[in-house]
Amino acid sequence: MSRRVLSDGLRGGRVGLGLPIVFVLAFSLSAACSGRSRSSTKASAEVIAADSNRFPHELHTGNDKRITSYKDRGLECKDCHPQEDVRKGLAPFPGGNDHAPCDDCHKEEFYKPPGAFCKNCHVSVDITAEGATKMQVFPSRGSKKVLASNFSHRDHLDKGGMESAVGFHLGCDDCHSRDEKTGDPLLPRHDACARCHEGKAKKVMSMSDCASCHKQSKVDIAQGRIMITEGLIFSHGDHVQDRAGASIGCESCHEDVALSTEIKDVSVPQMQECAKCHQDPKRTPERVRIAQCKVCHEGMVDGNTPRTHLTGSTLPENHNLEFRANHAEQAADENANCKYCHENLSGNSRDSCFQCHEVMRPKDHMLGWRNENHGREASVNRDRCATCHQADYCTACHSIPPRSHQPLGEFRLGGHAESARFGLTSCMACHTYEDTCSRCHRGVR
Amino acid sequence: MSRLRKIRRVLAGVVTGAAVVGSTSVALAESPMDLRLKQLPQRELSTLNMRSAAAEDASVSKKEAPAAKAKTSRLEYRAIPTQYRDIKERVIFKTNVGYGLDVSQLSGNVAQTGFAPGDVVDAQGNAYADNRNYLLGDAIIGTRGVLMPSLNSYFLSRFQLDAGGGQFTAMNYVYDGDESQALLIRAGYAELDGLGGEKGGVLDSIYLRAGRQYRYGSNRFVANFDGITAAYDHRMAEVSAFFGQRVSLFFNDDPGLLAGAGVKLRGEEIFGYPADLNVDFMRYDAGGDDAAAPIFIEANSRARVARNTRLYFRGRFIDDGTDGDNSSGIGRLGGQVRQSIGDDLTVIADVEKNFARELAFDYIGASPIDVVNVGQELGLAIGTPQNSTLIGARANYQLTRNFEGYAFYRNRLVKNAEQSDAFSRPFQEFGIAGSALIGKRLTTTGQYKFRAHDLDATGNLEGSAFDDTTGTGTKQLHELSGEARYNFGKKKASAAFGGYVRVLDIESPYAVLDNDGRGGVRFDVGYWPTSLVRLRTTGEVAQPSQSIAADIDAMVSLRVLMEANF
Repeated sequence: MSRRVLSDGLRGGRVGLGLPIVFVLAFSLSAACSGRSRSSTKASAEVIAADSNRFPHELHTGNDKRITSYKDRGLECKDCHPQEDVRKGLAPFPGGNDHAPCDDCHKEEFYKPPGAFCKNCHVSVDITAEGATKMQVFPSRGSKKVLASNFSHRDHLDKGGMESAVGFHLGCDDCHSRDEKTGDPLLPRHDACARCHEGKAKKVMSMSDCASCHKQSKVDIAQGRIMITEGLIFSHGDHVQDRAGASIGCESCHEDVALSTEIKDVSVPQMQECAKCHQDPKRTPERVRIAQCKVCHEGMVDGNTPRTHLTGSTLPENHNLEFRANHAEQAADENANCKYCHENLSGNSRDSCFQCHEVMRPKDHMLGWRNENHGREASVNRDRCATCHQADYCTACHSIPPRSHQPLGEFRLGGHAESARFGLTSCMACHTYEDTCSRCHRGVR
Repeated sequence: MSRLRKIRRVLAGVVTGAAVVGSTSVALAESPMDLRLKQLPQRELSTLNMRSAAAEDASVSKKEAPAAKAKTSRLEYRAIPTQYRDIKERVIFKTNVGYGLDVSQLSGNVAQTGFAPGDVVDAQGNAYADNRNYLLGDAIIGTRGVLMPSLNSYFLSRFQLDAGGGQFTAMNYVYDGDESQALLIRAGYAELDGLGGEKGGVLDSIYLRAGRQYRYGSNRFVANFDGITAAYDHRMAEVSAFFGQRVSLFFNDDPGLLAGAGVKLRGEEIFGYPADLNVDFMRYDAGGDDAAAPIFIEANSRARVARNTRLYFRGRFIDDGTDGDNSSGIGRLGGQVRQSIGDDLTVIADVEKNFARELAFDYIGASPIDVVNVGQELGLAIGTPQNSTLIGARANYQLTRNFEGYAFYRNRLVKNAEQSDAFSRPFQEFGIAGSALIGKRLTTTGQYKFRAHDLDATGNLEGSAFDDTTGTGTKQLHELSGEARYNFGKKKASAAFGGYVRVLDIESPYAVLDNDGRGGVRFDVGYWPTSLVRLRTTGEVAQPSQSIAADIDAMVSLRVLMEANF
């Protein structure tokens, strides 16, 4: 028995030395390599590809001499964003007036054929067709808002605070007016702010003081959206009332919005929020239930609902009784989506059974399993054992004389006879006639 | 508009128009092109609609010139996630820590085998101990894209520490032994999923993993090893190779070296047809001058032949590394068809042909006789593989929204049954199961299983071979089990209670046992004080066979665990 070592683990020597070496190798390779990858973070690293600096505000607000010497007083916000227009919520983007005032500084660029400079603002320049010259989306998805508004939802939704400060309070729709066609709420423009900040709230924060709201912040507006990797179909306009006719308040999905003090706090609701209604037949019809992937995900015809999309104890629909007993083929599939729910998995499609079964024993592995039952099951499905257990696992136990073999001397001499009468099969699980029995017994009964 | 602006606009139009004409060679002979801008750029309203990142990417890439496309930057990558949600998406952490107590008191009876453990001591002089208690747990830590986008890591371990009790007990577990080691590391590796460069390029498609890892063959050979895996993962195919020292997780035998390679072909990408083919090769050198170096080649294929029909095929070729006449050949061939009929019914049919060349257990226990050094230690001397065919069918039916039924059947046909042993006898098995959701929170499941082994009575006759076990073993098995689970809400609390009864008819050359029963009950209660922590208590009471183990009274197991999950 002294030879026997149970599990290599962190023990020194052969394996203990090998493990750190390969880790060092792996990390050395890591350090040597850089750039983009196909890793599991590709949702955040690749799918969201946009020019984060399409219009470099920081170059227009910094201490560069060309900025500070503009009109001998320095470039100010109002030079590009005329105050009157801003207050009306009109034309907040400069350039709409025949490229003024951009051409004050970039005059030569506008005399050149369409090129890279144009793409700061335009998708393309095409003068041959009406409407072909389109603007870039600004700010672009995945970019940073250099001058994001220093907006606190908490302060604006604090009814008591608002009442005492300005004599009235606000609801979401007061700022997020709805698109007339789609019913979608719009991001408020400056005119929405101006309604108060040119009036009763002027003393708190004046519209003429741009910097009071727009501070250099570099807010990552993509934060919280990195998991949305498929085309997501969503319409706020469809989420006004539930199936029963009850109104759906903004806070139903944007639970934490009333607590957010900065724009970066506002993130996309997580799927559990959706599931609260889309799992509830009283609030949603079957056709938009959470299991209907294609309702929200473009190009996803069918699939299993990840647990993150579920509430309560609901299992994915394909986790029926048959699946629970026999899921080897599905779990081995490259596209297996076990990782979405089973949190102990690495997430790599190259991995499967161990990561789950190491921490989730099959249900029939109960107390009597090791003592009496596993051999009988192994005799009809050896493959099932081999899925998780290498032979050395079996050998480790089968090398320990069971309690019935004690004391071993007596057992050898004749104490084993009764045991063998009732369990010859058990004997043969560890012994063979050649290696054990033949020492004393003839070859026949 | 000032005169100066008008002049500038005309000049700009002329210059722009000239450039367009020059580059596109448009004929302007008859009607001069109107070079005035027809529309000034319009502001786009920003809505709260969530835009599809992929869709936006596509729309931009279609319109942008290559030069501009190259300038497109990525979302800034954070090497170290600092925000809660980012950490949650890139770090996997789960641990269980708990205390276990196993109790198996002696009944005072002598087993029918004549054994009474209370009267004896083991080889070390220990008297029988009716309990043992221990600390146990597991820990899983994984990272995805931390430090660099392509770097992942994963660590999977568990531990068990004896806190008291004895080793001479009915509650053996695999950690027993003179040199028992508490910590077991099942996996610990780092991997690079891409080495940079253009997306889909050569470097980007290379995958490296180093550390303690495991690999599944196409037909489920399982290799644990400390080593390296390298792969080139193209969208149409993946080619991989691995090499390392086998990890003997539970036994200090010579681990040996193993190496192999694999190919995955993705039919959807190659032919536009949803079928895959995977082939794996592995060579295992157990070490030592006389040790054979067996070779295994496994393959499987899966195809979606119709929207609701899937086919699976699998096979294994074995060369045991010796020079014998029958040293190589096909070990097994199998197939499965899975058919969904409507939304509610799934039917699966299985067939597998095993040949005498098949592995006894796995690539380590390839031979049925000598898994380890039998001369010094006992081996896992399971039966010799026989030529046999296993056929099976399963059906799952969603009877109502809250109730489903399941039925299964298996039959092993053995070509030369008289040469088989207790481990490879023909048998038939069928069973039914049901699951019902009562209300919103109570789930109940139940199953009945019957199995009949075709024992050979002639194997029990006087004068038959001593090791002839064709007439030995379980003749019939009836099993009834059930469980009810009440869930108080996701990550709030749950409680489950279940039990089972097994009744066996057992035969051997010397004894016949009819209706030999054993059974048990168990409970599992979990409570989440927070969404990240679960407190869990599981318990089990089992009554062993009063024929075979009459010396043991009810066995009791209790575990109290705290699970942290991130």
